[in-house]
Amino acid sequence: MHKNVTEVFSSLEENIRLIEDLYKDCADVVKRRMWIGENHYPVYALYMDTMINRELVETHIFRNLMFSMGPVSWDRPLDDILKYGMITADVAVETDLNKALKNMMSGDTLLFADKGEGVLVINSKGYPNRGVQTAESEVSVHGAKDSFTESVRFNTVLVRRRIKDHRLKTIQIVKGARSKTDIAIMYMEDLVRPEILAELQRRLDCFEIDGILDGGSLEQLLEKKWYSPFPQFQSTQRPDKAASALLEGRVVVLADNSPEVLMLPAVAGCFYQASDDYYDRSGIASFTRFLRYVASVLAFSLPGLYIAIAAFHPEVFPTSLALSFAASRQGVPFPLAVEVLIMELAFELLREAGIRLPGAMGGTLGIVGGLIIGQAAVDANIVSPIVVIIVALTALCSFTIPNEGFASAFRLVKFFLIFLGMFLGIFGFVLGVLALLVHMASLDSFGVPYLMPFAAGEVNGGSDKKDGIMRWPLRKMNRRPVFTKNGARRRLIFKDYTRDQ
Amino acid sequence: MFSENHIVALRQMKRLLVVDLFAATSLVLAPVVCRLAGTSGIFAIAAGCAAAGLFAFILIRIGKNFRGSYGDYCKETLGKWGGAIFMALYCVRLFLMAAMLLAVFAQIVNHTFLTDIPRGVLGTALLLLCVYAVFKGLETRARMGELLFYLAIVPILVIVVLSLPQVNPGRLWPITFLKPEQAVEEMENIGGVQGFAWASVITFSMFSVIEWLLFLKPYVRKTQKAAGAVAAGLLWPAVLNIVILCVCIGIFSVEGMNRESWPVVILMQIVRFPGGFLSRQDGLMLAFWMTGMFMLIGGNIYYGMESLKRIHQKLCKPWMILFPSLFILVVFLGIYLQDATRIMIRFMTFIYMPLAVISPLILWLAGHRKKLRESCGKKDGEKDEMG
Repeated sequence: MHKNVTEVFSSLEENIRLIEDLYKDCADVVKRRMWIGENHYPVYALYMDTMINRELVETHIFRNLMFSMGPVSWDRPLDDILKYGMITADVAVETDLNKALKNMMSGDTLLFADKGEGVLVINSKGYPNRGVQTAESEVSVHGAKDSFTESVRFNTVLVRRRIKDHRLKTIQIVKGARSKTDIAIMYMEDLVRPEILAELQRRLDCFEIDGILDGGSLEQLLEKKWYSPFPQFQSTQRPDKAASALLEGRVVVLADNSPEVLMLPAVAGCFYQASDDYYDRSGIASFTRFLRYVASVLAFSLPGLYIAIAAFHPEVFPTSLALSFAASRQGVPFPLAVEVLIMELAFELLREAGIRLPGAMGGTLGIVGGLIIGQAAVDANIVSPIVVIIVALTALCSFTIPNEGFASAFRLVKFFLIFLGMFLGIFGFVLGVLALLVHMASLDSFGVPYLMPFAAGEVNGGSDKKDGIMRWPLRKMNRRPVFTKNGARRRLIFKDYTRDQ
Repeated sequence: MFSENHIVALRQMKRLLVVDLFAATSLVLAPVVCRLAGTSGIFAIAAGCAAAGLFAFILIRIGKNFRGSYGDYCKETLGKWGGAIFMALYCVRLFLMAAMLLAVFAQIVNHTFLTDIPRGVLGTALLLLCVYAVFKGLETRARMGELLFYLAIVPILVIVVLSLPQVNPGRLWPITFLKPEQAVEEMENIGGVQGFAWASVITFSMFSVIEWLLFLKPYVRKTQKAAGAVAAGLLWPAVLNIVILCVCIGIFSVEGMNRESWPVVILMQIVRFPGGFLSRQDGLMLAFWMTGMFMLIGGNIYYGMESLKRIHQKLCKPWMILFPSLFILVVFLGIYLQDATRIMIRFMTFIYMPLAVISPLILWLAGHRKKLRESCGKKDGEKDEMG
């Protein structure tokens, strides 16, 4: 941008000279002089090729301006064009040139007029989009299958479809000096805690960056304890999850070009909640929820615990089991801890390779890695079968955690416990678990303790525990969680109709 | 929001008390009491806990006079230098206690399930973890107490329940003082009323950790319900210790218990889990016990640091924790591990507990005297105005 130019010139020629200068060598920017109205009033149209809705702009708006519009007054041209020339309601007059050009690069069409006080910004967004598809990472058996897309406007619409309440607010800001990424902040006005909104705004104002390309970057810039492996925001691709979070008084942050949205505050209990939990009956939902908790504990502790016990305290195992383990390890040249590390690293390599490979080959890699390499390693006496089982079980357990970011934290913690168990046995393992608990107990997400509802469980009358390890029947979950502001916690009034019979 | 509001909930306070008191007593109290008082140790524990309850009640009453922290109250009552000396005594005592608990921990772990690891490694590793937890503040400690409550209590309960079929109730009857033939030769003051009295005193000494209520009080909001929470916090460890004593006597008999160094650990070794998927679980059970020791040692360091900070403002820097940590490590390494438990019990009985009881009473008396002076001064002033 020209540093000194912030306002739109009233002279069309000056505007044209400026635009030509700014967008020199930009072949994707379409610039065109036009003469509109009965008196052939000079205007200048500007838009990004392929980012606009061509049919709206060229077939309807330009055609109307050029062939159907009456005379344009020389003293107030923009008013006339706005009143008589525009067939779309989403038009505004902008005097700030930087804002106008930013909108143009987001898919709007600009119309400069000679002697106009500003520029017309016509909302004509029509950029390429892959459309609403099925969520890839958060698959559910019941419930909606749609997922967010890269367009922030589509995403807000997907949420609005589920909450048709005027109290659902959307604040839009721009972050990224060069990317000018649109960030939408959605919240329920009567449910959200004002201090959370204020804190979010404060954190957003704390940084300036050249570009925000994904919600993940935004998350890392907004987190208070950025060094922690545990995410303090919950991300999701599912609009129903985002809507559910809004109804709990949480805030949802949507970034343009990102198919994942951020929900805050986010406590540990949130990461174990899957959408299916609320669409299934409470018995099965509680069972699967409990299974997830057990699986998450095994995901980070199983390898370390196995090393600690097998290497330092083998007397814990019954004799037959200990003999079986010893027999399976016969001929393996490496110490137990090294075996486990080799297999864990091999699995991490497989996982990483599987992500990078094209879809058709990814499945093949799973078969190759899991069956052939694993079996070959056992046959070659590099590792014992029990270690393969331990690592496979650990991997399975980590996949049951619905949130990938949270599960990734356990992937790192697992190695920490392996090293401690390797050197200090069960003492080291327990030290590691305690250190992990201390760290998690010290975390908070926008003022809410991270370990809720297991710590600080008395808050909100203990009702947050109804959606903790077990999921109580929906008709008993009549209070919103602690994220909601005081006085707005009641969400269900249930009249037991069976009593009337 | 409420994550950093420096408030400890009543539930958290209760659970902290349970974890701290139970960790201090679970492995140590039953054998010591049995050696002094035999089967009457059940009533000795009850008496000691009742005394601790009375002490807690007095502390709660004293705590009502606090306008800020306990350190601030000391300075208000005793003056700047008096308060500083008072707090210095607290911090030295608490750090010494932390060192001794570390030594007891290393002794038990070294003798039972980790014989190859040097005690320096054991002690240093646990100390580092405790310092990390102290660094994170009181609210983190309170949340840890809430979480570890089940880890500290449930395994012992499970062991006790699983060992019930092996208990011979006949060994618990009659409930009498320790007889001479049941005594261990090297113990002093054992048997009879004297032994019973000492067992009660030692129980009270081990429960004198309840003095931490004075440090916790400013952070607890609903003080009118604090008495109930404190009572529950005392009752759990008291009942659990009595149950452990009964089970141990029922299985080992008084003579058998007095011959073993760690009868509770032996109990963990001989109990079998149903299903037979674990052959020996004393290591696992001791691992759970470790969590309680971590809270207890961390508590001593935390409140020691709180006292240290109140001595002078310059001591409030976060890195100041380095010096007490080094002090604790040096003292820990200097303690002969074989005698660690005996040294700790003597320290608690003759130094820790008396100071724990006397200090708040001195403060209370000084505060009372100050109030009387102030009210006399006011009356004299009013008389002068009228005259």
